[in-house]
Amino acid sequence: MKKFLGIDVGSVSTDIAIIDEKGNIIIGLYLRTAGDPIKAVKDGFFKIKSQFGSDLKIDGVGVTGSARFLIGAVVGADVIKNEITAHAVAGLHYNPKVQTIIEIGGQDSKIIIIRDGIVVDFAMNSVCAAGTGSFLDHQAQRLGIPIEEFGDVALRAQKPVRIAGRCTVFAESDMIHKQQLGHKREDILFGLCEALVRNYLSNVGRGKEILPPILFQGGVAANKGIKVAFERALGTEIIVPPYFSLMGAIGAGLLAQEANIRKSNFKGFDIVDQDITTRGFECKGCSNLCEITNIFIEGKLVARLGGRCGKWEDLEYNPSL
Amino acid sequence: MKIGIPRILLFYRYYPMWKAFFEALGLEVIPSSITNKEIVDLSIEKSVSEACIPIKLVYGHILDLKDKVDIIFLPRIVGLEYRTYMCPKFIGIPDMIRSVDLDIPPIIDPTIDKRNSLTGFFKGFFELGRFFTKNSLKILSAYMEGLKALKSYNEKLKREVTPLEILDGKNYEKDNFKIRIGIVGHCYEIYDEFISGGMIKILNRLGVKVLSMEMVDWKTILKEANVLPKKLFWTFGRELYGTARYFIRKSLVDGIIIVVAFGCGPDSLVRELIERDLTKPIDFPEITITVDEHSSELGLITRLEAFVDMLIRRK
Ligand code: SF4
Ligand code: SF4
Repeated sequence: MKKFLGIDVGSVSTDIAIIDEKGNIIIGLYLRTAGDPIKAVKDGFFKIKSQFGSDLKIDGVGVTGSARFLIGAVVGADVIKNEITAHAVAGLHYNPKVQTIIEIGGQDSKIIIIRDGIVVDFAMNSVCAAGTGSFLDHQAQRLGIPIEEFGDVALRAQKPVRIAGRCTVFAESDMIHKQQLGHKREDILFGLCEALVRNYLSNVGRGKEILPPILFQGGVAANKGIKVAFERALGTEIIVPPYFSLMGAIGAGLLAQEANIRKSNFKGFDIVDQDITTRGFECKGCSNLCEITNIFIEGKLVARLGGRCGKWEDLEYNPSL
Repeated sequence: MKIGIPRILLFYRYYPMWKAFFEALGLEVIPSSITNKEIVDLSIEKSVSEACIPIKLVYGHILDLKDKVDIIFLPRIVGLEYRTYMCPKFIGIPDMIRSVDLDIPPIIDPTIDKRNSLTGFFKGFFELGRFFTKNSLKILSAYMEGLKALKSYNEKLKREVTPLEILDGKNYEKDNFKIRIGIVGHCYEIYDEFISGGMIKILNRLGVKVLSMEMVDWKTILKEANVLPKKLFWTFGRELYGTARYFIRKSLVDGIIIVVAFGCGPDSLVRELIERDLTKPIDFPEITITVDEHSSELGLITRLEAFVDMLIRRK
């Protein structure tokens, strides 16, 4: 059976999935990006190698996420796609009838509207962190609750507190205020969930027709409090797929499969043992002063990123730097 | 004498005309550089932070011309059609620039106002010509040269070539496009590659043919906007609405991208109108891209790619 590798490299987490032709998960990994996507991918590959050995054959590789161009070049991707398409493809694969996908990750959130199996509208949050996972992480830390328990504790709320959650800064000061007033921890936590959901619906979800079935994907879907807050706000059931945090990677894998590649560009899992470095410089070719990144594997230049005019994409192009 | 023209605002609409006019009067015309990092940095430093990005960039473009020219041309465009105004910032820009101590050559800012008279356009140019010559006939013939240049520019645009291709003399587009997208936004947002993040080239690379307002006859566009029950009193609003309606009604495009400058009141209002009247009722694919000096290129690429994927999968 053919196997496809999907990688979703975001700013907070790096997710890797290997799927078979039917889209079943053979292995799924969730790693912290911690500012070094290449290392995160190598760590993931190392785990795969130790489990399956290095001659696991891969028939296609798809990469998505904010570092997709970099990682795509490093691993030899066959398909490099944006996160919206990847999440939509994965959501549709899981539930072909899906009409709405809510995706909340560590640093961004999206909404994808689907009708008859086709994406018809979408939106991403651009700058605001108040509707994302890092907001919850931060607040959980402040209340001294491990993020894994956040949801369970929040669900014990009897009288949720209303927290003004228009932006992280306000939410935080309001929360401290409510704490001082003696509100219970669980009530504050569920209040936070409701604040995040309100925020999401009024920013990302603004003007969108949110119809069921609704899938909730991304790391934040682990938080049961948020799921329930969404259900109450929307008055309908929210489905959290089993591999909710891997959906981007699964989607990337499915896109690789869909692309019907004859021979994959994949460089193999052995790149974990190779020396991969990047070196950036500023092109002074014109006043754009683009940041160009050179990617070297074992000292050999394998790819170049950046540059609005595209002249650096030609690896032969090498004026004395 | 060298006259400098900032490469922003209505540059993309009138530059060929201005150039021909000034050259006929014996001036050497120098446009400011294509927006670059230095221009952007200077703009942000010198302008007021509430201004929209296009207005901010005027400062940097003027400073870019500072040591290259003897005089700078920055018209005060009040109105381009009957009883309809331009954006207030357009009307005030020469004063805004003068109010900051930039140590620049003199600014020449003729008023161009067609609101109440058909000859308003010519009057502006006449006033302008008087700075350089007392010979009315010479001004008139320079004006004719200008009109001729504008006409041929507009004709080229109608063949669905972008202003950038004409002005740079290059050909960016390839022929085998999968889909067509109409960009609804002001020319100084779309064609300034800093403001738009190079949107058109990104779309071209994704296999998209891009249409913009400049490729349609201006009067047609404005007529299109006349369906609005209450006439919008600023021309730009009518242009955006009319463009969107024309593209959609004539099935010229598979989707539209509305470009809105952060902090531009008129734009966001028109965007709501377009969504309410034109796109939402028939589920016509649309996205809005908000531009400011902090926009990230990756965010833009992701949105455009997703939008294009969506249109292709819809087909
Ligand atoms: S990469 Fe191209 S566009 Fe960027 S600075 Fe160099 S020459 Fe200019
Ligand atoms: S119309 Fe909007 S973007 Fe244009 S100058 Fe006026 S405020 Fe700025």
